[in-house]
Amino acid sequence: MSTPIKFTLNFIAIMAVQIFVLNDIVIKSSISILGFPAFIPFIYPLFILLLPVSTPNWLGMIIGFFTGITMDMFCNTPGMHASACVLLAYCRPFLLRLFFQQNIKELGNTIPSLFRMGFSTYFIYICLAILIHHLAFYIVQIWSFSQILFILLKTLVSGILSILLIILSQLLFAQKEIRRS
Amino acid sequence: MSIVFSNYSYQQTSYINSARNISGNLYTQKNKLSTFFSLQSVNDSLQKENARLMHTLGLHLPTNPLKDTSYTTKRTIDSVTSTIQYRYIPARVLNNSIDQKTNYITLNVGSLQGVKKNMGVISGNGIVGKVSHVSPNYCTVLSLLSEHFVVSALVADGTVGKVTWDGLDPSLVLLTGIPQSVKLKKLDSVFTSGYSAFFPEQILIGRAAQVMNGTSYKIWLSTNFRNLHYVYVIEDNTNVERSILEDSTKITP
Repeated sequence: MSTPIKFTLNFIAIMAVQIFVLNDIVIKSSISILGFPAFIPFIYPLFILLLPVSTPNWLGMIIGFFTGITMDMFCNTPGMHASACVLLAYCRPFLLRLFFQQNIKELGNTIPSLFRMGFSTYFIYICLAILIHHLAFYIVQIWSFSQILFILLKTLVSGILSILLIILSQLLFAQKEIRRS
Repeated sequence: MSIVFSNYSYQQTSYINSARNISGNLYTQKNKLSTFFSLQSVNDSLQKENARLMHTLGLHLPTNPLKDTSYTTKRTIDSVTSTIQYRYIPARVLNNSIDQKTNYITLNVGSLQGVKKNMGVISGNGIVGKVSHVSPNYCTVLSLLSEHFVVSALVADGTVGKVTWDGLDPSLVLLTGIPQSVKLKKLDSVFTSGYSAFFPEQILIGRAAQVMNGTSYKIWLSTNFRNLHYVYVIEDNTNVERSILEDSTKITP
C-alpha cells in the first residue's frame, strides 16, 4: 500500500476512535465524582507522532493543522485543537532529534514505533509530546492565570490517560509493521 | 492561534461549529447506533415524564382544570392571534460535551423545523441551554454548563437570583444574588423566573445542595447532562414582540 493511502486510513481510524468513543467517555462515566474535573483523553496527537521521521517540518505542521481543525469541527471548539496540534508538529523534529540523535539517519523514512525505538526512550518521547499538546490545549481553552493549578491538574489527569491509551494502542498495532518490513 | 483570538467571543463561532452538515451527518449515523443500546433508560425517563405531565394536566384531580378560570385566562391572555404562548419542538441529542469551559450540544432539528437562534432548550427534568447556531437540519445549543451562560432563577418565596456554572463539576451550578434574609434549606427547589426571555416560568433548574456563604448556594442540577437523549426546543410566540420592546427601551431610557 502506498504511503499516502496508508496514512489516510490511519487518520480516519484514529479520528473515529477519538470522536466516537473517547469523546463520549466523560459523558457515560462518572470519573469526576472522585473530585477530578471532567476530562477526556486525546489520542489523536498519535497521528502526528506516527508520521515518518523524514517528513519535512512544514508538511508536518500543515498535516497537524488539518488534524486539529477536523477535531475542532467535531468538538465545537474554535481552533483550540488546531493550535495545539501545530505546536506539537513544530516541536516534533526537536523531540526526535533529542531522543534518537544517533540513529535518526538510519530511521529515515520509517514510522517512529514502539518496537523500533525501544520502550523507555519511546515512552519518554510520547510523554513529552503529549504533555506539550495537552498543556497548550488546556491553556488556550481555559485561558486564565488565576486557574493555573486547574490547568495543570487537567493536563495531568487527561495526559496520564492519553499516554496509557497511546502506549496500549502501540502495543496492539505496532508489531504488525515489524513483520511487514 | 489567530483563529482562537478572532473568535474569542464564543457567540460568534460562526464557521466552526458542528451544525455543519458533515459532522452533523456523521453524528446522526453514530446516534442511530448508540441510541439502540440506551433504549431501556430512555423509555424509563420518557415514561416518568409522561406520568409527571399527566399529573400536571390534572388527570388525577377531582376538578377539571379547563374549567378553572385562572387556568384558562392564563392561556388566552397572552395574545389575540394565538392562544398558546409556548410551542415545544421535540429533538434528539446527537452530540454533547461536558468537559470544556463552554460546552455545546448538537440537536437533530434546524431551521426547517422552525428552530431559531436564542430559543430555550429544556429536557424532561429541567433546563438545558439555548440555541446558538442553526443550519437547515441541525442546530447547536450553548449548554447551561458554560461560563458565560447566565439564567435568572426563582426560589420558593419569590426571590430572584441568577444561576451560573463555575466550570468544575457538571452536576453542580452556582446560585448567587440571594439576599441574606432569605435562607434556603437543603433540597429546596430552584426554578426559572419569567424574567429570562428564553425560558418559560417554573421550569425546574435544580435543588439546593449546600450553602457557600450567605448569598450564594450550590445547586444540584435536575438535568443529568451525562445522560441527555431527548430535549425540547421552546418556541415562544410572544418572544419577538417582547424583545423588540425591551431593545427599544434600552435605546431610549
